[in-house]
Amino acid sequence: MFPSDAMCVPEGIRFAAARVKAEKLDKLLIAGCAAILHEGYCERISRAAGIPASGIDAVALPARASSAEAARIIRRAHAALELMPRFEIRRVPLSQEVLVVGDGQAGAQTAREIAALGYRTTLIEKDAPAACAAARDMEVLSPATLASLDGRPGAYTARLRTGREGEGQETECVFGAVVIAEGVPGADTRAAPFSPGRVIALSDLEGCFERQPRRDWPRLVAIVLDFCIDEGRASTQAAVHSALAVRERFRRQVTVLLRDARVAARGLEALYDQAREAGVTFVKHAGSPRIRSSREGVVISCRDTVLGEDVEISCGLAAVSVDGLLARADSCLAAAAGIEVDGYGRLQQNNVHLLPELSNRQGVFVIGACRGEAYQPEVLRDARDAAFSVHTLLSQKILKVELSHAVVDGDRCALCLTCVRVCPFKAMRIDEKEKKADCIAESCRRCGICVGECPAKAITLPAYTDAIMMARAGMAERPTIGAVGKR
Amino acid sequence: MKTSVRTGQITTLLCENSAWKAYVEIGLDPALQGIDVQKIPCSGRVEAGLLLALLERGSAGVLVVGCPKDNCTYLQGSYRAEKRVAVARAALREAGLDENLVRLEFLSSLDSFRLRDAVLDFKRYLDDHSSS
Amino acid sequence: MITAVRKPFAEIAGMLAGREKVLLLGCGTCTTVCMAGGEKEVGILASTLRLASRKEGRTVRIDEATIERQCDREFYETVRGRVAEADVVLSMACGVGVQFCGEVFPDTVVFPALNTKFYGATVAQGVWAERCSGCGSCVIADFGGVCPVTRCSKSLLNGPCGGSQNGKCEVDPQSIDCGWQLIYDRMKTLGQLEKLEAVTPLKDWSTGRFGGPGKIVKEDALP
Repeated sequence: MFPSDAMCVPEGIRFAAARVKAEKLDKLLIAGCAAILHEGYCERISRAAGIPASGIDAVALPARASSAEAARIIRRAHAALELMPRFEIRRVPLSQEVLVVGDGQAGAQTAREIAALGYRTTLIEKDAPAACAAARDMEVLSPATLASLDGRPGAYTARLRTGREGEGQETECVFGAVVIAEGVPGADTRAAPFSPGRVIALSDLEGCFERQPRRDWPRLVAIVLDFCIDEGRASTQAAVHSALAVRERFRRQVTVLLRDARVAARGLEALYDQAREAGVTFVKHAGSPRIRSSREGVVISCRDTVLGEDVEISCGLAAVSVDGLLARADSCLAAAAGIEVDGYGRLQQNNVHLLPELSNRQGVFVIGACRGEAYQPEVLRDARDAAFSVHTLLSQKILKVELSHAVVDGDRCALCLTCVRVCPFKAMRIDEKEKKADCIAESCRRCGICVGECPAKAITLPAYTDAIMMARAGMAERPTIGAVGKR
Repeated sequence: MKTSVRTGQITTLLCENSAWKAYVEIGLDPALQGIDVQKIPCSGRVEAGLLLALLERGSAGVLVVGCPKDNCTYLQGSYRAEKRVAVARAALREAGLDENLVRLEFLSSLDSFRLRDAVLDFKRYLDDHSSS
Repeated sequence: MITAVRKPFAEIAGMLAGREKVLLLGCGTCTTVCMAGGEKEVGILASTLRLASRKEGRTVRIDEATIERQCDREFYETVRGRVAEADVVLSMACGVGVQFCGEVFPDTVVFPALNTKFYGATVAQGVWAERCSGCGSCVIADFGGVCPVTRCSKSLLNGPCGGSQNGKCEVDPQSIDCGWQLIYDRMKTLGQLEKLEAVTPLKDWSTGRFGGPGKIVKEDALP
C-alpha cells in the first residue's frame, strides 16, 4: 500500500509506474477520486508501468468517506483484482487479399479504390458478364456467388461458387476483409397496385406523357412514395424531379404523397422548396395508402397526418415508386456471409453503431443499396468509406489480440448451439474435433452475451466471471457446492 | 421503524459503453457517495441466476443500466438483458418477494443526470419498501 | 431430443414442504439443450427456493449439482455422497431421469421439477416442436418423411379429416399445421404423390407405449 498525492495527474502516474517497477508488481489497484475512472487512465498507467492494463484497476473513494468505508471499497476491488487472470497477447497475420461482392456502382468503385491502395482484390458478380470484367487491377469472377464465409477478421475463408447454377465449381479462398455491395433484388411487384394507363411505376411517368397524345393527358397526377416501406433520399429526389417535370413541362397538377420528405442532403431541401413554389402539392400520409383504379380514374385514400383527417385524392394517373414496395428478401447472401438483416431484409441491422458501412462482423462491410442507401452521392461515399475501413484494418498487417475472449468449458458444453446462434458477431463456432463450442478470439467482442445465454453455464468471460463480479459486490461467489460438470 | 437501506448494499451494474461513462462524469456528485458501482462489458452479460445470487448474498437491490435497446454497442445486449431481468423478476414474484428489487434502465453515455436520478430513485424505492 | 418445461413454482414449493435439505440435481443433456433443467436453470430455481424460504422465515439448504445424464447409472457416482446427505432429491431431468435416480438410490425420495413434454426438434432458437410419438414401428418412409402419427392431431393414416382448412388443423388453427397438408406438400415436392393412393392398413399400436412398458435388449452388446 502506497499513499500518494493526486493520482490523476502525470506526477501520480509516474509515481505509480515507479512503484510497480521498484517492487516488481504485476497488478496494481489505485484508489482516488472519480477523476481516475476516466477512460484511458488504466491504459496510461499500463504503458508507464509496463504491466498489462487488465492487471490494473481504479476505484473512486467518496470525498468524505470514513476510513471504514474506504477500506470496504478497497477490499472489494482488491478481492476482484486478485481473481483477474493475466492475458497473453496473440499476434495474428492479416491477409492482404480483399473480396468485393457485386459489381454495381458501389462494388466497382470500392473495388477500384481498394485495388489502388495495393490490395489484391477479387470482385464477384452473380450475373454474367460483369461490367468491369476487363478490369486489370483486380480479379473478376462472374457469374459467381458467395456460398459461405467462415473464419476471423484478417483470415476469412470464403467458399465461392462460380459458373452457372448446377454446373459450377466451388473454390475456397482466404480474404482479410470482405465488402458486400450486392444491390437490391427487384421489388415484389405482385403487391403493387399497378394498372396500365392508370397506376404505373414512377420511373415510367415522364415516358407515359411523351407517349400519349396531349388530349389524353390527365389533369391531376399523383406520385406515391412509401407505399409499403419507408424509402430514402434517392426516392424523394426522383419523386420531386418527376413532379417538377410534369408540372413545368407538361403543365399538369401534381400531388406527391409520402410519409416523410427525406431531404437531408445538399440541394435536396432546395429542390423540395422549388417544387412547392412551382405549385406541387405534398401530402404526408400515415402509411399504406389505398389505391383504387377504375375507368373514371384513380382514387387514393389515406390519412393525412398534417390535417389529421382521412382524405381522398382523385386523379387521372398515379405513379407509385417501386422502391416503396417490399422487395423479395434474398436471404441467401445474408445467411452465407453471416450478416444480420434489418426489418426490410437489408444487410445492416438498425443500429447506429454500424453506420455507415459496418456489419455485425468485423472486417465485413456493407455498402450501397443492399444496406438501404440508394442515394447517389452517398453510394459513392459508402464505397470510399469501405475502402478506407479495409485499409485501416489490413494495413497494420499484424493484429494484436488480447486473449481475454470468451472461454468454453468442454466438460459442460452440451453442443446446444445457443452461443453459436446468439453471438451477434458470429464469433462462436463448433469445434468438431473437441466436440464443443469454441470462441474465435479475433472476432469476439467480449460482450458476455454468450455467458448469460449458455444453459449449461459452460462459458466464461475471464475478466468478468461471476466470481469477479460477486467479489466486486463484496460477496463470495455463490457456492454451487461443487457444481459438478461432466468431469 | 424503517431504516434507510445502506447505500453500500445496493448493487449497480453499469454497462461500460453507456452507463459507466455517464457515471464517470458525475462520480464526484455527493448524492451518489457510497453507491456501489461496477462496470460490466454489456448489459447482456447479466443473467438471472447472477442477479438472484446477488440478492441472496445480501444485496438490497440490483440496478442494471445499459444502452438504449436499438443503440446497444454490442447490437443485441440490451434486448437480451431485458429478457434476463424479466426472468429474475418472475422468480422474485414466485418467491413472494418484490420484483422491483431488480431493475433495468436504459440510457446513453451523455445521460449523467438521468443516471443519478435512476440510482437515487431506486434507493428511495428500496428505503420505502425495506422490511427491516 | 426429449423436451420439458419447468413445473410452476408453487407446485414445486408444495412438493418440498417440510423438507430441509434438498439436492437440486440438473441434467447436462436434453434438459440443458431445451433450457429447462441445465446448470443455469438449476441455479435460478435454487436461488428462488432459497429466497422464498428466507421470506417465510424458514431455513432450507438447497444443494446444487448437475451431472451429464440421469439415465445412466455411472454419472451418479460423483453425487452419491450428496444424495445421502439430502432429505429429498429434486430432479431437473426428464421423467426418465427422475425415475432412474430413484432406482439408483432406492431409499431416496426423488421429485420431478419438470413436466416432460415430447420428442422434438429445435425449429428456431428457443422454440421446440414435437416430431415423434415413439410408436415403435416407424412408417414415415411411406409419407414423404412426415409422421402422420405425430403431426396429425388425430394420427390418421389415410388422409386428412374435414377439419383441415387452409393448411391448418381445426384443433388450433392458429398454431397447428394440418399434418396431412404437410405430408401432401412434401410428397408433391418429392414426386411421390402416387404412393398416397395405397391404403394404409390398421397400425399395430402394440409396438409402442400401448403395448406396455418397452424394453430393448441388444444381444451383441451384452457382456
